[in-house]
Amino acid sequence: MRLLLRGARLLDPAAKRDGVAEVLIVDGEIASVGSKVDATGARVIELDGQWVTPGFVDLHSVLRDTSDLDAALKGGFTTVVAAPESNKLRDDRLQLLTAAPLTRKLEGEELGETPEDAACLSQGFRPLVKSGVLRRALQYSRGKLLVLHAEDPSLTGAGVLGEGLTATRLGLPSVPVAAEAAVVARDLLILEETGGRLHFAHLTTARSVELIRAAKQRGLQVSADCTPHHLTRDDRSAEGYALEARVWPPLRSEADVKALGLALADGTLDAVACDHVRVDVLDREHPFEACAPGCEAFEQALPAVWGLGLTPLRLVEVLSTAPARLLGLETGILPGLRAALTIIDPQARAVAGVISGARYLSSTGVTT
Amino acid sequence: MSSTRHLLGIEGLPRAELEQLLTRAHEYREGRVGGRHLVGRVVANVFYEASTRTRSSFEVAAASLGAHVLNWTVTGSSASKGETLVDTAKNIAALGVSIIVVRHQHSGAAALVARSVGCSVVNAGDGQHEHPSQALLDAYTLWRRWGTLAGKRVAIVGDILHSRVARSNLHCLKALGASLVFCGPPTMLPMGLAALGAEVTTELDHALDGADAVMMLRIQRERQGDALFPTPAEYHVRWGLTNERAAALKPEAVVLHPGPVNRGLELSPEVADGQRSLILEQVQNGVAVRKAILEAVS
Repeated sequence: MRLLLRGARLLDPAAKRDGVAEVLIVDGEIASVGSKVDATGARVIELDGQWVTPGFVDLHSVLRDTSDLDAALKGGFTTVVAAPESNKLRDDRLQLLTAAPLTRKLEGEELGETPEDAACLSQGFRPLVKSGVLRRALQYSRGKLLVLHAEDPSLTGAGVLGEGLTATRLGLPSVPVAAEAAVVARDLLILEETGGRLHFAHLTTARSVELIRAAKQRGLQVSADCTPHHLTRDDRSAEGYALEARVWPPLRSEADVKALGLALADGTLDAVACDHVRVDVLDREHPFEACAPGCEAFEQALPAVWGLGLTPLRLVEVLSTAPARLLGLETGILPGLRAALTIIDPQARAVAGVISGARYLSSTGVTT
Repeated sequence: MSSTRHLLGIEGLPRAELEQLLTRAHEYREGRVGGRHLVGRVVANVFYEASTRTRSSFEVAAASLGAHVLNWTVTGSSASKGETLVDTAKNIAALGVSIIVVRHQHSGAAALVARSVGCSVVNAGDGQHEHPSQALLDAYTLWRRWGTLAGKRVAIVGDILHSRVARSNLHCLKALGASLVFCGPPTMLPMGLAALGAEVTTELDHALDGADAVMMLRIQRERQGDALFPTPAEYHVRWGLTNERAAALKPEAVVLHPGPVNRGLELSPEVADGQRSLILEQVQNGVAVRKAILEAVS
């Protein structure tokens, strides 16, 4: 089975490649990349200026069934990490990795087991209240990435929206910035003492971003991501109790949204991670605060990042190269690697398809 | 939006519409109209939170307009047995109800019901959001007394953070030309009040200075678990309307309270029963105001 991608602009931050070249894929593996590829007997896909990038990598989403994986592929993701709240799934259309619970049952009391095949250790959407547990986790799990959800529940209370005028007017319980930032600060202090690899999932506030920036300047091994929805929506989208604003962590101010975008551009934030959480229809028939939080984010990822005006290579970096490296995965459009590629239509600013192993999945629904 | 009329909140309602409601309420209050406007209609009181006062007031108003009143009480336990608010609302509407009057512990509940059903919806209090009929009856009570709210200074004192009464009154009194000062412990003052056009202070004596009316909000003792202030005794000293403070008010200043009063906490018993208190008149006016509301949405 030979597949030739022709006429595409290849964007590969790992190789610092940005230019038109052909890619030959044989039996699901990249065989050669260049201008004079021997394509005898290959099926040719004419891409005519579309972009080909290493496949997008998602660091945390809740995967309940295969429809979530369909959404991931549509959004351009060829590798996804199932958050600890996910169901066990099998699917050979993409690379499906697992985050092991950082603490037992995510309760934040005792360390969870660290299976060899876990892509990382994660607290999912649950806070880690006890500093002592984090300290021990960092000491114990050197080398493995620890993915944290920064939240002080005593500051969150019953909050469902970032503190501000919108929450006040709508009478929605609100969450102060410190509910996130105070925990980021605490965790960074602990990291500085213990060493280890700490990753903050779904940061939402300008204050947290400043703390990460300063920590990186001090040389700490810290990384962080934000979600597509926190890059594109602020607390005002809760107007009229619109449920697209019912996400967790809560939406923040316009200034916070802007700070996240700038932090992705300058490298303070490493990656965009989806936090794709599909919510059952019946869980949406309640008033705003009683509804289960979550949104279907895989297909929002590229449009959200596109809107930031990053360079094409940085755009690919935050969606693919950086999260792959955080997970210790090989990344790039290089001979010898498993074919995991995302095809982007730059005119439509949309994912046009993915190559995953020997499969070509086009967003128009053609699968081969 | 369909052409179905609702009263979900005060925010955004034009002054003319508010004045129309007050004028109509006044006609009912003075007995100038008999009004059997709802004969043959069913008004459903759907209360997810216990509220004897508001529910009774709506019930009396609806009954005296000739409506049949259906009291649909939903306790916390049966609400959690799976039926969603949307589901419940659709079922009630399917009984042929003309107006749903809904009280719910969550903000936005009345708007959600209005989106889900074809009949009219009146918000009888949704979470910490709005309580429009209370604000209208407060405004009416002052309007009846003064003839106008323009240029008057109203102090609202207490747990502003959790109060839907405070939010509705902010929009209502401001639209009618009054100026507002909010006062309470710093832990009970939400962010952004000043941006909404109110003065904000934590010093009660400052709030009371020059006030034409003082609205004391109820302290919900069940929230004491949140420990928003140290003790009720300290609250009374710092934010309670004591006899001394009441005596220092402008001679003609009046005192309101949405009820039920925690005597000795928000205000002293003497003030609650004193010359300045319009508390019982508020209850009396509530029926007239709710008649005007039910008529307006029907």
